[in-house]
Amino acid sequence: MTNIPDIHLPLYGFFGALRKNGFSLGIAEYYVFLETLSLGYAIDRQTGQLDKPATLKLCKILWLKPNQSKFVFEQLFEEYYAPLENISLVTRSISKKNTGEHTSQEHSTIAPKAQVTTNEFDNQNISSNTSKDDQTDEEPTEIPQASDDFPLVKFILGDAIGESVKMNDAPTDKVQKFFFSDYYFDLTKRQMQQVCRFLPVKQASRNTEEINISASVEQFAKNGLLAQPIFKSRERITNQVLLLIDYGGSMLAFDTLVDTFMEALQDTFKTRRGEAHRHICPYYFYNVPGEYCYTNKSFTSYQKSQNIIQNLHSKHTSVIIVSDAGAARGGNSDGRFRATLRFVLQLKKATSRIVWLNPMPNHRWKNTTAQRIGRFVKMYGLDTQDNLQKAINILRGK
Amino acid sequence: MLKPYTGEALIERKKIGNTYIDAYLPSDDLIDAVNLAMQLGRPLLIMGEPGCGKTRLAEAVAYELHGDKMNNHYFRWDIKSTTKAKDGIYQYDALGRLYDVNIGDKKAKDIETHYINYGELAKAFSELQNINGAPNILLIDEIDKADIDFPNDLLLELENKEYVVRELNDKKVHAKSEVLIFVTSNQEKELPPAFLRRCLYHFIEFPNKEKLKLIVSKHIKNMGDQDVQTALKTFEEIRSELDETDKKPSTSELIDWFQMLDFYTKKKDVENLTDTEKRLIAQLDNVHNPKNPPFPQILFKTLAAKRKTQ
Repeated sequence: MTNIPDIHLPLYGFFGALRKNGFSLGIAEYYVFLETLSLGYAIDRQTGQLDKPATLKLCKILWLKPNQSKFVFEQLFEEYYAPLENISLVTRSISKKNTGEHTSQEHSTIAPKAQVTTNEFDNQNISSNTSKDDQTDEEPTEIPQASDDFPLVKFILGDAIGESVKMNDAPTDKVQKFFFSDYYFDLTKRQMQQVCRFLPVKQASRNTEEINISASVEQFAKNGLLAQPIFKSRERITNQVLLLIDYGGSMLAFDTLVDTFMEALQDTFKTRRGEAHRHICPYYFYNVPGEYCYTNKSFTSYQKSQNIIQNLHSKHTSVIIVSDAGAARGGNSDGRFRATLRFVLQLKKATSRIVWLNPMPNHRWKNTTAQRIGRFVKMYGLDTQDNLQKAINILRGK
Repeated sequence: MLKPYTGEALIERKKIGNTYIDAYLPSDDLIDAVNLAMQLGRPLLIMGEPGCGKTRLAEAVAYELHGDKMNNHYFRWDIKSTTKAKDGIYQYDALGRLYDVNIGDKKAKDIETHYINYGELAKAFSELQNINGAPNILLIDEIDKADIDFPNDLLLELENKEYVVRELNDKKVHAKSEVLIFVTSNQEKELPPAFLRRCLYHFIEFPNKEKLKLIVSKHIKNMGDQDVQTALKTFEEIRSELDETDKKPSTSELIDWFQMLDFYTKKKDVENLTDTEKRLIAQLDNVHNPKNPPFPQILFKTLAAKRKTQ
């Protein structure tokens, strides 16, 4: 079953794999790809086969966006393209009704040759043209232009969609390649963002000098006199979040989850200018936050915990500690408990808005250090949106 | 019939009216991207090093597709940090109208004529199509300078090619003909995914050696081949000496430098130089000054070496 290439919807497997790996693409983007193929791009004129470099170029223009991994893109392309080598994409039986709908939808603004000519690619023409080998060698990586004499390639869309879902299998390559992906975590970034949305405290500042013209005019129209112009208010985010993250050892498995959470937080705190770093301060520690906390994951740059705590504005700062607290391995250690408790009590002197997020679910904390710590700090699992909501509510002071 | 963009119209410097357009030599990948964007009717997002030719691309395409009528079909919207999406579409002069209403001026009744000032995007959508069927060109330059939300505010306009004027009773205006939209960005901020999804994307790489030589040869008249080679090699060395955090000199700097070298080559043997020219050449000659930072020193060394051999 895995050997059947998806001719009807070429590279649909690749498209699906890209989406799973974090490329934000919608089905419209896949339709655009089909549209360009049916216009003749990236298809070898003689044989009806896909031209590999041209196809890769086409996919990159359509699907690869800035700041996304070109490496991952190309790797996935290699894997999913393999079954399509030497397969002709052109089929004889063409459902005119389906393609008629398809073309009129996509080609609403441009009127290409597609709607005028009704050439069908004749397989007999291929055999007589195979002698023109030098033509195919010319400029192998150029995307050919759709032109008058190029026969149309049409795809059967209607009935093929059901089939292609079956065919959307992993490629037949022996070598398995792995990527870190946050696709399988319980909590997606979007869910986290939805919950964290209310965490930033916004305050309208009156210190702007720009007049809000339309509002002032409206006020004048209502009141009949121009008393005071209305100024534009700019919002400022006034609170900060101190993130203390346990990194390494048992927390390595949750690294991506924690990173996703941090990204979600940063996105919600992004100001108009795009500066989130002023409001989110992450520090890292190993198992227990001790005398020093580190500013990076490789533990090369540190700050004294005392200083970090002293710099908290108690009204404006929330503290989130992310750690399994021993629940991952199920350990119950006195030493760890006491050291953690010491730190937590110090924190409590500075602010009451402290919350502990545990990547392990609640039922795994029983008889571990996590359970003991949970009696002194509000601990919630980082596993459901509900739990995260409860944690955020504490930080908001509710 | 859509005429594709070939990049061949601006191989040499061309004159339009009273101004000149410099040569523009796009890579094959870029040409493909432009044609694909034209065919699919989607905006083309261009990124690359500063000075690699992002902004000039739109102008070059406009020249090739429209020739002398370029100024009627090419629209440029420069984005500033204070730009809002609405500014490119139209601006409503509320204060002016309020004043006119107060003094009882009759023209206050006709909002559209007197108080709506259309921006570049609206103008591009309102322009009729060129007879040859080529699309109108809209350049949205440096979109990342504005707020994060700015690209999202333009989604409807970019996708459906239409805009709404609230003050004229929500009048909806659809583009009268095809518009090819170029968007450039300097990678200063991340663009929202909803916007990125709708655009085709191309990154302009720094040109390879052959292309560099071709580009440079269009801007010089007097330098010999040997000198061009030496200077190009020097430029490459400079680029490789600078690391990631420094700003590497890019294509436009290279062109500027070559124009300077070309000028020097032309002038060095001429008698009756003006004072300014003498001073300029003296500056270029100033090689062994330890106060000079290393970057210009390499430049000047090339010139001094050349001078010595003459």
